[in-house]
Amino acid sequence: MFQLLYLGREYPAGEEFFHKRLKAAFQKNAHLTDPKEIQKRIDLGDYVCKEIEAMYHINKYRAMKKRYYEDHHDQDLVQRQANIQSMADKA
Amino acid sequence: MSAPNVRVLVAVKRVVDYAAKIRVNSAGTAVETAGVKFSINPFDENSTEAAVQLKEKLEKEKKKVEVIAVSCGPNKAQETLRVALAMGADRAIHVDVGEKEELQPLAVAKVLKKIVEDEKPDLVLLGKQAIDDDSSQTGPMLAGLLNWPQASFASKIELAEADKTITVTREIDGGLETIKAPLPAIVTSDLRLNTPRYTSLPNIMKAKKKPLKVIKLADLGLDTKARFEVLKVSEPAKRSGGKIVESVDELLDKLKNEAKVL
Repeated sequence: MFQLLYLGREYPAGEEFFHKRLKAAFQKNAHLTDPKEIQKRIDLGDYVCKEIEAMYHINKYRAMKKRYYEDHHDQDLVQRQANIQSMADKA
Repeated sequence: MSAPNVRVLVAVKRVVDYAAKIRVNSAGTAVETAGVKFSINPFDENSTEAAVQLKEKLEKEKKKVEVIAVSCGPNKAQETLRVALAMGADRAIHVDVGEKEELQPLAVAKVLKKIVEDEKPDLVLLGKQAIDDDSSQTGPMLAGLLNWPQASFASKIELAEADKTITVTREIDGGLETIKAPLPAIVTSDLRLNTPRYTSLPNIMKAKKKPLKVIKLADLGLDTKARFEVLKVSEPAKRSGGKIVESVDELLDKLKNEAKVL
């Protein structure tokens, strides 16, 4: 749970937005008493943690890529150029 | 503790966060830093991750690796070092340059050279550039000062511990280049090198207990005077709004009469 709170500090829509949602999500399940059910929700929480981490990473990666890399650095393009070259060689 | 098989030095810089809104200060000489969020330079995050991955890999083979993080900057640079420690570095060195002074790449390279001479690492990892001044000079200059081999813009690093060599794949224009160099060497990391891990809260708590040595810049006795002066910093031109044209005729008319390109 603390990891979720910690992750919220960097949430693009704001920490407050995140905290309200997070609290609501916890309160929704406050009535649960079955340990199995509770474990399921905890697992879901862990999953959400991973999702948010992945989102932060992709955000940062995209921002960097947009700022510092022209198209010709693009791996896809390199691959495509190689494909065209090999086709040209065959022809 | 016995001496590690491999010692890796990672240089990290505290920069304005990549997501922060950048404003030029009122004097037009620098970027406004008051009230702006700072974080570790993204490329330095890549190099820290590379060092930690190397450590984890070699530790599986029962080899010892020591990862040392170093940063030159004001007191707050220690926060950045704690991030590196939380990611998995073993200890950190903070070169305190005071609040006012900003070191230029050559000065940082000189400081790092001194640290390298003291710590004797086998590998020095740096980010390919910092996202604030975008100089991309510190790594190459350090390699020059030490007369060590360097591999910049690394997208893949393989270290052969046994024969003390490193094989690095570099991203160059229109392709990839693979080079092999003897250790010790300098490597600067590119964006695609790896996926930096997100620090977990427990690791951050643990990082607070890891050793952090503070060295005063003045005690190193180096000439770190600024070698160039920033004359002006300006924002890129604002994009002027586009227009939606109703018909082809209108477009032609505008191209002829307003843009005068036809």
